[in-house]
Amino acid sequence: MVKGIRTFALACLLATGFAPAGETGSFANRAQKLLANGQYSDALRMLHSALQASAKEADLVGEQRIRIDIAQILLHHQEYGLADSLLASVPEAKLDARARLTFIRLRISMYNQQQQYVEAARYFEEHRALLNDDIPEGLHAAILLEGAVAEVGNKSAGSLDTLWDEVDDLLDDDGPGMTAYAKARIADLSGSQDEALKQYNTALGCAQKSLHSWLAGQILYRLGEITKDTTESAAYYLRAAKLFLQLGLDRPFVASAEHYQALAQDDKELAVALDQARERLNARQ
Amino acid sequence: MEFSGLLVGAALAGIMILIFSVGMMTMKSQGIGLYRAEEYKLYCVFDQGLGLRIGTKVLVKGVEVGRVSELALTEDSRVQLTFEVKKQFSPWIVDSSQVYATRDQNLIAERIINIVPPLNKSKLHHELPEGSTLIAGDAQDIETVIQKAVALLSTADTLAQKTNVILSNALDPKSTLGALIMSRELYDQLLYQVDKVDQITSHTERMIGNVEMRLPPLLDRTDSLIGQVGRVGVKLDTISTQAMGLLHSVDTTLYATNQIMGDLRILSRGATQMLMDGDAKIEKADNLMTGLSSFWFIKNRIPKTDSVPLLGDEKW
Repeated sequence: MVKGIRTFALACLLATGFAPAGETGSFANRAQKLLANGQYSDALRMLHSALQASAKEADLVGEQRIRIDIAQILLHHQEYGLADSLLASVPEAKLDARARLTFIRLRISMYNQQQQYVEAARYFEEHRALLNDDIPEGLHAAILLEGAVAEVGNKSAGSLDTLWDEVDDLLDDDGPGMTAYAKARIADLSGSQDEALKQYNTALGCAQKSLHSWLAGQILYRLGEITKDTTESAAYYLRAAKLFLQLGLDRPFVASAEHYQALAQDDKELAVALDQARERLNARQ
Repeated sequence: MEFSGLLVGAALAGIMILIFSVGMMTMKSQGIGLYRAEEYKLYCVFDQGLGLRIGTKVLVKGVEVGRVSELALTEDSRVQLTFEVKKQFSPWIVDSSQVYATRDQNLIAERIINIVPPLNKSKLHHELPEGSTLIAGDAQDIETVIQKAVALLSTADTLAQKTNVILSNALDPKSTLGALIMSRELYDQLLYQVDKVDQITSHTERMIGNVEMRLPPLLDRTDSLIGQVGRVGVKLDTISTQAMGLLHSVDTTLYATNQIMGDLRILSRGATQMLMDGDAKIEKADNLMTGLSSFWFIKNRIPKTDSVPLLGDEKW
């Protein structure tokens, strides 16, 4: 009898192990790996394949998740119009709980990136009630941190202390990079430049360590903007430009390279890359 | 008697004046002695100075404009040539002119220096002043072409070896299994290497094509040379040892050329084979990827249908 139960349990285990892998998930996971490796165009291509596979498999949940992932990549490309219209095509009500919260984080993040703090704060407040203890801590904290930035940008920082307390509870000293980045942006928005520089540098170190290249680029760019010393500022812009160039993110690259060129001597290689990126952007318009 | 003596004297003086005039005219036409044309010096640095010597002709579009006056080795073991060029030809020798060492007429003719003016006439070109260095082009004779072909094919071989190493790494499950499953890096590397081999092989084939195209006229000219030497031999009715030696040299050259062409074909076939190997290797890597993915312990790690990840939600 015991032997029979053991055999049955083993069979069940093996059956689970041998379950066929869906193409949608396979493509999406590969896209995630590619993105972590900074291969944006390959990741986007893979997500496109995942989207097609989701249609083939009639996987509605997967399809909406992929749309959200694509919107995330478009945000990194600073293609806000495209990201917005893509997010608008996602039926928020039909999303699974986790995808819906990622959707919310993405929307707040998109508003913040465009400095539309009124919309960001409003959207955050509207959806704050959805945040509960069941959602993953990282995602929960990310929404609260974006919300905190939106509140400060909107000059409605009344609930900021409560937000920090919540974040501290959730992260418990974990996720130092994401906290430092939010603190830096808040200090930046509040005009505390020294604190902003300190926090941005902490966040930069964490982003580099955890291979969040896009975030590292964003931080370098912002450091270039707020650093008063021209040589230092140019160096930050150059690092940001080179990083975005390697990631294949044309719009952020063009912005960084143009700032660098305005401050420093001509760099021929950079100038050639800049012309090519501009051409690509023009062709896309 | 006195009159005839005067007549002889006048005739002798006339002949002397004639000889002097002819001599002066010759000197003028050759640009020697008092009539030496105004010249200026130009330099050029070649990888090899084979077949070049002091006195080698320098031509622009077939017109002799000067001669090589000096050959010297540089610190980096190259050969610096000094040209003495007639000043009157300076407008045709500009900053973008290229210098080639080539053979004048056929395979066994002496080498000459050919200065090729720039093709793009609409562009602004500057006349080269005294002491300037001209751009050295690749030598356009069969020895150099073959030397280059061999060098290129040896590079191709190195690349093919590298491709082999990549594939061996891929086959070692302890080292790169993860990379095989999760990353395109291996494929990209492999494709890059094979692409290089492909480029090199095409380049070599183009070069061989050029040699094949150029060789027949050269061989024709060599044939006619042999004919001429033969006719000269018949007329003289005594074939000197030198003439025999010359014929022998021509024969050896033709034989060597045939050998070289054969070698080139073999090299080309080798390169093509290498390329085909590269293709086969990629296919093998692809099959390996598919095969490995179907192992249960790997398959288990491949995401299931409902596990579409959401990007950027992790703590950092």
